[in-house]
Amino acid sequence: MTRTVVIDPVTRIEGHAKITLHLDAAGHLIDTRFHVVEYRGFEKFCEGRPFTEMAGITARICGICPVSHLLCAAKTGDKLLAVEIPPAADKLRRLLNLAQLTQSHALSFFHLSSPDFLLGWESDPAKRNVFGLMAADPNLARAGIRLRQFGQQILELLGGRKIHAAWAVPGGVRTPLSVEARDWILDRLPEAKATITLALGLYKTLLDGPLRKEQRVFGDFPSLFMGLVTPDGSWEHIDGMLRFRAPDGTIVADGLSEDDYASFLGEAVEPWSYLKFPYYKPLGYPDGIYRVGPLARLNVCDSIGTPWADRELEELRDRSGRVATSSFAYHHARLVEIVACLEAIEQLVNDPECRKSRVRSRASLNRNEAVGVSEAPRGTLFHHYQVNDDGLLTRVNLIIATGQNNLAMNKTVHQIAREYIPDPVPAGTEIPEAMLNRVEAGIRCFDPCLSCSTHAAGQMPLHLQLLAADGQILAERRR
Amino acid sequence: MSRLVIGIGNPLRGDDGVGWHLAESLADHSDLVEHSDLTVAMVHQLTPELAADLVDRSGVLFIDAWLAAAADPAEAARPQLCPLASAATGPGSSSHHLEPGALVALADLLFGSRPAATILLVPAFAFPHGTAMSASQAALLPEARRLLRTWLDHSLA
Repeated sequence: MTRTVVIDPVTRIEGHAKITLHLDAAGHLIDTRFHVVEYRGFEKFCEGRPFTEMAGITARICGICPVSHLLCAAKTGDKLLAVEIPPAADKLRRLLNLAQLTQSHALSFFHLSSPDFLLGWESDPAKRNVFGLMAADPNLARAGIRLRQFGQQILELLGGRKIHAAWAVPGGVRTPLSVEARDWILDRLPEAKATITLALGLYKTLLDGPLRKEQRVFGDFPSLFMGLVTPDGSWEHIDGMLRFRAPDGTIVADGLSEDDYASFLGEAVEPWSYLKFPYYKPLGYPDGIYRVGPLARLNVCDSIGTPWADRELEELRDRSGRVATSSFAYHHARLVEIVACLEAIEQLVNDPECRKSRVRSRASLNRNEAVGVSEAPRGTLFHHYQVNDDGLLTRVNLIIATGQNNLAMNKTVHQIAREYIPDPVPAGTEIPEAMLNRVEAGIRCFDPCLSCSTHAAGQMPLHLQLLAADGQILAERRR
Repeated sequence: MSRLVIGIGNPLRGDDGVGWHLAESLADHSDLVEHSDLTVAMVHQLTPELAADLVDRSGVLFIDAWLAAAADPAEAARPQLCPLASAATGPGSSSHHLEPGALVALADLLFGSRPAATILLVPAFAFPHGTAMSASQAALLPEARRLLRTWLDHSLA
């Protein structure tokens, strides 16, 4: 008889999911599955709506990173209008996305993941949260909260509100950067830089000590990495072309256009999850496993293009390899990306172009199909729309970052379970909470947003089950 | 010192949006001129970074929907204006959602800020998709507005 352990629901990620660990008759781990158990169906109910509404509709998939959908929908709308947006609009959209990356990465590192790093995997789960972090390191907690507030406030200064701002539109944006907003950002930048300096110093110390093992066993496996790069191969987050890089450093594909995504990305479906399993088509399913997100962006690019961030990138590569294959390195990559964002934000707010009044190009519908792409905090985001001659949507396909990491998340859970679960698992054994937390933490490396990826609603607690070969639940744990 | 009003709720889910709507109407209301110390915010849910907004406030008012079915007896559900205690909590608190008392505790612990916190709870009866509030909740709005006015007039430092 085989058995299965189920972690359900998974905590401190966005959405609902569970993890099952499948054992064979002898108690050996034979399979693990990360199940996403919610479904929302944005793609279907967008059909029939005007494409101009997509920025507002899809932004409501998520209250944490609505800017990503907003920008991708606006970019797709640009292509349906067949317009070139004004240079000021391009820079202002960049500024918005940089603020979004900053606030989202700050949330992931300071609020979601650092309680594990600082309080320990075995610590009381009731205290392993932002309050526990506050007790252990109030300076870090305070700084993290203010760094996220910095990013959120830029979103509000540009878009008029922190979430669901309908500021980016097909053709550009609604308003330029005000003098007051510029001055506020410049005033707060030194504090934001000091915070990320503090976090990087702390994190590197932890990597050299208590987190050394996690770097090795939290999802360290070969896979492709995909992300946007500029024409000269530098770090990009909103424009450019797609690149795939292999773990040995080889560039597998380069200069790919989002228009052709269907030729190189496939989407597999498994009956036990609502989350699809995208893969790199030339290698087939599941060998075409690839990862997206902050680590992938840093792996695919040649450099970042700003001095401090490039120094940090160099150090990350010294520690983790030219292509970092451990999923645990996503945490380090987020911190490096925050550095890159702060440097780029400083450049943009000092750029007079961002204050020019011509920020929108206007046109009628000129195409019936378009694909937009951008880099969300969690990775590459595609919007694909088909519209009729009245501009009403007839088909919508959204390929979300978390979905693209689905194969990698499953593989990460399996590797962690193999490391920390006794082999074989004796019948009647209770699964220690600390082990469950490590399995969950493997998922949190990817900072998944399941509301986006399944277009599902809700927050995500944890549910783990141990299942027998016949499907019988042998052990179960919820929190 | 200034005061802060935070309306909590989803304005696209029926009665759940009452906190948002009341705060929004307060922000739009011309007689706020007489309360120039007031800042108004509307949020879907409370997140940790809002703790920084409680710094240097003499008072903070949260306005939130309250599940009418939880009232005992249910028919006695009325808007309530209550003092709010600081309450640091564990498992229920997350990056995406905090209770008002937990946010007050966070502001105290991180920033040493202890504004007098109050909560205005307005009974909610139905949560369908859409912006319309139920007739039952609409009937309670005058009382909710009276309590809001009470707080505005009596919470001055």
